Amino acid sequence: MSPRSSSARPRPPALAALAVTALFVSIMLMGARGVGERELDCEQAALRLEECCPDFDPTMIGCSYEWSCGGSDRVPVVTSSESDCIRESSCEDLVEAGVCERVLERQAAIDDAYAEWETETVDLGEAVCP
Amino acid sequence: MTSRTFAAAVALAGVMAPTLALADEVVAADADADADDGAADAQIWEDEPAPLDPELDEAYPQRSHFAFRAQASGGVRALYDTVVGAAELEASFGADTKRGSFSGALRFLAGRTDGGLGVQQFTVGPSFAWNVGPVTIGPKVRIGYLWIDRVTSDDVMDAMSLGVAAAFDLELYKNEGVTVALTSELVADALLPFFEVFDEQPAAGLYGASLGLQFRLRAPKAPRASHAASR
Repeated sequence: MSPRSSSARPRPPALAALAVTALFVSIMLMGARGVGERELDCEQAALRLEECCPDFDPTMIGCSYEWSCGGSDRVPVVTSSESDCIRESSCEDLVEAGVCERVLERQAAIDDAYAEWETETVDLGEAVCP
Repeated sequence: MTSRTFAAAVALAGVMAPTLALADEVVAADADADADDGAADAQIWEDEPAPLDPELDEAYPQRSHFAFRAQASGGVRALYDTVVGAAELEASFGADTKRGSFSGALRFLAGRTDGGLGVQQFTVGPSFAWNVGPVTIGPKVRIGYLWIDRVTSDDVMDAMSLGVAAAFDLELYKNEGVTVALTSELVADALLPFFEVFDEQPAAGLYGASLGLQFRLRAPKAPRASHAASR
């Protein structure tokens, strides 16, 4: 039996546990919100609209959820099925069908509902991509 | 530990150059390369002394050896119905033992969705490997952080990732502790919201596969007889 050294260095498992804990805390501080399907689809559709619509600024639309406490939640401006439609349509079809304008109009409606603290869920109305 | 790791990294850099030269020579053995250079290289390797450590190329060495692995690969992932194409780099440090290889791995992935959004992920976690002939198999466990760029704002979509991978490697070249292998992985990650749990964002699955090349280095050990005894 040999006496244990009081200055023993930490063992690799202890260092690994420390590293994982540090990573966990870092991610917590970053506040990762998760990746929602509708958000992801909406962002992909926004890229397509930027590519196809003249003077379309993707920062004019919102693709993230913002939960409101008591008021109307802010939701991605297009649904997943609309996003698929936008991505599968040709630029010519998107412009001719007025999809670019419809998306901006819907965004304005969502912004109004959010700003006016409406308690009802925003009615998205007609599909922006027929 | 830190000094050992640093020393290993320095040793790796020192070993890389002759390793690559040797690989070149094997591949070009039948080619009509520059006659003078080829002869000189061959002479250098023929004059090399026998390996110091006979366990360097053993599948399961009796004594534990420090081991380093680096791999570069390309892969695809599916996230909902979105396809992500990505390049991955991984480095791991650990030990080759008589019970298998155990290491801690750092990995970074960068890629794009099929629509063009940038995707990045870094992970850390333990990795295990066992040899079955020229094939190495083993599970990996990972924890990390993934983020996807947005175009509608400067923000990102991000998540904590918890995942597993199954690796299958085929050794292409092995000599004196240096191994080059074709590596493939099946990967499954859960993307979880973290901290802002009240946002009710759902968990998502990220599945896929990767294929690439892996470089392994097993550091030699001094002979069992102590230096003190020989002095």
